[in-house]
Amino acid sequence: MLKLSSRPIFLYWPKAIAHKSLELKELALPLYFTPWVHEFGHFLCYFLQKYPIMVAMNILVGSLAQSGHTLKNTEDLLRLSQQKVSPLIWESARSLVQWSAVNEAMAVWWEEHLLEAMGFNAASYVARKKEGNPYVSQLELGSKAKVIEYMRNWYSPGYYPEPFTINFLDSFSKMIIDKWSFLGENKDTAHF
Amino acid sequence: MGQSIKSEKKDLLEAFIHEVLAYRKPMILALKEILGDQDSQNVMRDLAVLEEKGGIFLIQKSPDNWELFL
Repeated sequence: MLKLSSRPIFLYWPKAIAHKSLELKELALPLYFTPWVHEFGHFLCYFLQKYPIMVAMNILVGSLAQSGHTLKNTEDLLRLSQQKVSPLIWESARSLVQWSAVNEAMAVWWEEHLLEAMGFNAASYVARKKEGNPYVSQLELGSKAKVIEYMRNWYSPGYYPEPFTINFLDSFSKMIIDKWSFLGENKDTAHF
Repeated sequence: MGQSIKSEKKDLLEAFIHEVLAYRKPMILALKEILGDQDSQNVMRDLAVLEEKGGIFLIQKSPDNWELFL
């Protein structure tokens, strides 16, 4: 059985901290903590997911890179749709863009719910994020319990109609994902 | 000039660490409310291990001594 080792990485650096704090200046939200909570939301998803969505995304990134394609956003996907590429490349790219948006929406969901549970009003801040990502609104339709269940089980084929996605997830869920051994302790995934 | 930029960066990172740590306790309570006791305890335990290892932002050198790892 194929075993993949992974680790969570928070992408944050001084320039990003400064940039994000400027964006928040006009809102009644903590300048530095608010974007940290977003990154922490990605960590929460990594924690909750036996098969982290970020690992699946990285497999697709690697596969596309091998065939000479890099995708950063939906504009890149649109550009790819105008090229003659194989169905495998197209489906990989489409799934990557979809899961990137879902992954971001999950972090936004945590950001909003944690801030609100702490007594902040994050509605207008999150509203900006909804504009660029339809999955943010979609997650809001479910109860907290349902959304957390989806975060845990995002890789369940039942969520997706596309044959490529179902086949990919069928293979993906047969792998062993080692999420914690990089810590170098006796920590395993026993709590899943 | 270089020294000034270095100092600005240090001030920024200190402000960042200070604010993130200042909100930690209320954030843990909020997490418990949403995720429940057991999962939230496990999350914070994993976060603490990562921070100790410098895997994310903060390395706790002692109870009152945190350093940013980037």
